[in-house]
Amino acid sequence: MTDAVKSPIDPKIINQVAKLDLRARIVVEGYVSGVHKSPYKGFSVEFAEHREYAPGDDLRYLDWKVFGKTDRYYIKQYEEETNLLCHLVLDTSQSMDFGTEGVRKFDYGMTIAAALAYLIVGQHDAAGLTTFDDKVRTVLPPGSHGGHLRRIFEILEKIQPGGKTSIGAVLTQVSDQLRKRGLVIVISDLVGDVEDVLRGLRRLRGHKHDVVVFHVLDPAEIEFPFDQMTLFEGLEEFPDLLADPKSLRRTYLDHLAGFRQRLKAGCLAERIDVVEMNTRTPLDVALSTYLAHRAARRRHRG
Amino acid sequence: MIPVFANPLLLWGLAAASVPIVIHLLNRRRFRVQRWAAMEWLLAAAKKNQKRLRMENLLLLLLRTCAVLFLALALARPTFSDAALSIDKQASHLFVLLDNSASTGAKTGTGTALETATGTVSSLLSEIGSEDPVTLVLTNDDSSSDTGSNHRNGRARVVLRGTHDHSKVRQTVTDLKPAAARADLVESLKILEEAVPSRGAIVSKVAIVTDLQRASFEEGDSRGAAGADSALRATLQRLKDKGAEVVLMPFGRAVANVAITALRAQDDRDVVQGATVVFEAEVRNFGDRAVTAEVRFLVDGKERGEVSQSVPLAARPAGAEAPPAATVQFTTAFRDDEAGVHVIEARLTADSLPVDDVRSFAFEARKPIRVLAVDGDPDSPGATPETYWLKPALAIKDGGPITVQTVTEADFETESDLSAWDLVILANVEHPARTDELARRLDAYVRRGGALLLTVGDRVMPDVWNREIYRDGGPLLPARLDEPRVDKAVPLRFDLTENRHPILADITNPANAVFFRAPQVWGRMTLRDAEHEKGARVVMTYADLAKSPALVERSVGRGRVLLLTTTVDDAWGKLPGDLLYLPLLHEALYYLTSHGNNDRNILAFQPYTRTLPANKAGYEVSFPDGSPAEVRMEEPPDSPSYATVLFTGRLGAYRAVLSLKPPDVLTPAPPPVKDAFAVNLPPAESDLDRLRPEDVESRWPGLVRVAGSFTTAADAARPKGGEFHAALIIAALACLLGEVLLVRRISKTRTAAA
Repeated sequence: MTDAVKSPIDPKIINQVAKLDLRARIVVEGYVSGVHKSPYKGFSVEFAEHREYAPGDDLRYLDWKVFGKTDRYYIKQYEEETNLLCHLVLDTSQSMDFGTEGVRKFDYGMTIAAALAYLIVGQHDAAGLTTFDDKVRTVLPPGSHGGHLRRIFEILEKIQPGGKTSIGAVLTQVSDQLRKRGLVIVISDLVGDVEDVLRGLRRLRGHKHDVVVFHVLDPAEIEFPFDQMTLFEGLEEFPDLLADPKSLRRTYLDHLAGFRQRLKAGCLAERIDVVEMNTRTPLDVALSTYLAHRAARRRHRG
Repeated sequence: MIPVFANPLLLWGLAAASVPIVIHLLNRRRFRVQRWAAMEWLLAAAKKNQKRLRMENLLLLLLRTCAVLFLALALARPTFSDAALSIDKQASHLFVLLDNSASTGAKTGTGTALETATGTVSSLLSEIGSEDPVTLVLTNDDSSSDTGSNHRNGRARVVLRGTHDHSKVRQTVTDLKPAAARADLVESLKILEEAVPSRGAIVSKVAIVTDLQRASFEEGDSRGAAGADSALRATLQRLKDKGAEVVLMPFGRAVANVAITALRAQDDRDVVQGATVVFEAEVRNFGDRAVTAEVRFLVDGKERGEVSQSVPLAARPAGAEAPPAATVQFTTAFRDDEAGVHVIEARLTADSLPVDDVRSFAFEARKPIRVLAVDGDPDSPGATPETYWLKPALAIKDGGPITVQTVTEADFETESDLSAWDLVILANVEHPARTDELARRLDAYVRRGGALLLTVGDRVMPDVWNREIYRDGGPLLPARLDEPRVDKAVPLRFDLTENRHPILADITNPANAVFFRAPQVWGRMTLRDAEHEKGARVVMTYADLAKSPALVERSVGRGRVLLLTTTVDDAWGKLPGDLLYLPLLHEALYYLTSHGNNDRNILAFQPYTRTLPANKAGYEVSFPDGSPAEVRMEEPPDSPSYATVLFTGRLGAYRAVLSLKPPDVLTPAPPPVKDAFAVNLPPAESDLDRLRPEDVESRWPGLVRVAGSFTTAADAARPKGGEFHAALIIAALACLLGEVLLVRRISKTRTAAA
């Protein structure tokens, strides 16, 4: 064994767990128990007021400092959040059916969606799910009860990636379908024309949604590590390409950098957060990002 | 003027000029296939650069072809004159100790070092009379013409004794190939010395023809380098006393070498179908320049997944040990239909010593690990079954490497064949072995290599467990149970400070400390004096003052038993659902059930032995090149029969087939079982560090002289060829230089973005 990180939040390990609810639980419990430090500040369930202790109350919330001062038992009460609507929009096109290190982009994106749904419903917020390829395939409106969470897991477990991508048109359709304002989390590899992607995202912003994009890429797509003559088999009906990857590497990486730069600039202008997710990235980054957004909304309102 | 070719046969080498063209054409047909999602981006990138690439490739092809042409002509040695030899001859007995260890296969120009030694031996023969006797001793006997297998053990041997047939000596030396073994000069010189007669009428001339590899001089004695030094001195002194003239003739030259010095499964774990397996290759740089090595992995000779990885290797400081090996990992998994024995190969780009650029590792891909979980608390009202968390945590994936079957205590008591299970878990059972018969079965199961995991809970009564599985003389229970202590107000935690035990090494590795915090445990079973229990070992403790045992193991026969002193569900603690739960269970499972693959992986010339089943019909083994190997079958009266492969001097994977007899004449014979083992080079042989000739003379002054021949006149009379070939070599070098510069330029432009 090397010094390489080996944690249950490692995507490779999580991907071996077949049961999606167990997967989501490990990711979220692993995150919430404070194992990973959040890169963002501001997540806490806010303290609201004290009330006197009554038998049956959870002793964890007993305020020992107040007891020390007053000799009386007081329970700390916390403000409960119930008003966030979150729409998870997951790309299930064929390009997501790709992975070179044992984790497909699709598995990774699906785990993010499941973990976020688990966390959101666990906090009594409402989560909905939309899946798409070149069309919207599944729509589950937001809900906040346990049965709804199971329904989300069932849908995710049944999906198989396939079909072409047409993200701009799909996001336009999604924004027209979402009636209530909320947080829209798009999980996709965004393979395609950057202007088309931005058009769809602007449409969502136009409908006053907060938007977060998890841009899921495989390490091979980011690093292009090939060095032998390679026949690249195109997915989504693209033609095959026989090439020496070393000669293509520079141009390909330039092209990818240009795409990311234009995407970031476009999203910055629209106040859309783009989170780049390498499928090697620990899954709790998605949770941190979501929680930071939730905290930002609360500050905005409060 | 028409040149005369000194080596006209080598003109056939001109045909090699077609090699670059053939390689160029083959390369266009050899490619790997990669599914690719971001095709839209890749196609956009491919539209550029096509013309420039084509021109560069053509120019490279031209330079390479010309380089080969010029080199082939130079090797044919076009000459215009030849000088005759003129050497004084004298009556003597020539004793040659020729180093043909693996290191002599190092390339030192156009051929191997050993090939240059052939010339040295020829010139020695020309120094003695045509009827003078010659004795030839090899440091490593790997004579393929010798069918007396007992001799071919890779060690020193007199292969020609006092022969007058010099052509036979020349032929033997010319046919010689480097053996896959280490030279032991202490032993070799001793064997030669025993062949040298005491002072007599004929002068004894001893030539030690060696590549000066330091390890050959400094190993071979149990006392280390100093011991080897004094042993050599004693032998040389005896030779001097016998009146022998001893000359050491070095050949070869210092060359850099990168080697794969080890290949194994990570942590020496068993390879289980469906489980991710990590193979580790150790790569070591013995050269004085930092390099980046490219390591390729092949499974059963085929590429599998991402097979190629680069690893930077530091340079060897002058006069010091080579830096430690770098580890390169290769991750894969074996499907259900891939049961059986496989061989993985790690390969480096061939360097000056190709023999250590490949290493093989044979292993068995085991069937999924079968776990029988006995649930002592399957249906208690208001609580989850004891194995509620355990089962999904072990069998995390359908069709994965671990299958779990849960049974009740009553079902377990009727389980007649425990050998069908790799691991039995008794989770909070009331009676681990209710009857003597069950206790005997459980004991026999573990002794034959089975694994047993015991976890406690509210149904466990210490007296019952102690009575049933802690029996004097052969206890299964790692330590006697004392009493349960359950108090939610006083929770404990596991002690996860750094721990080298295989179960905890990774979990408690400081690099992983950020991921694992010990969960709270408020209920545990105390043990009676577990620290002093004979044959038991405390693997993990709680972080209390008394360091109470949390995990205790005991080896019983060929198997292992592990006791967890808390519950495996959430009745007595928060272990399930905690990040620690999965890794702890999985590490424990692999530790308990692994048997390793050491028997299948040997060094060259070690005999390979395999136990055979009673219904064996035959056992056939083939060398790595497919030719049949000799196998000796032994059938001792009171123990299982076994087969021994006597000659294992060829490196690589040996394939074997075990055919079986049918149980009776009416039943067809069972299908033959495929087997394999791997033979590798001793890692020390890869270190090509050489002694300096002056060091040899200063170590053993007056006993040995370093020289090119016995008589200095012979050096002056070496044949001189015409200088025409030198111009050809310069032209070839110019082409190669042009090729290198062009490749560097291309590499720069291609990797600038990296």
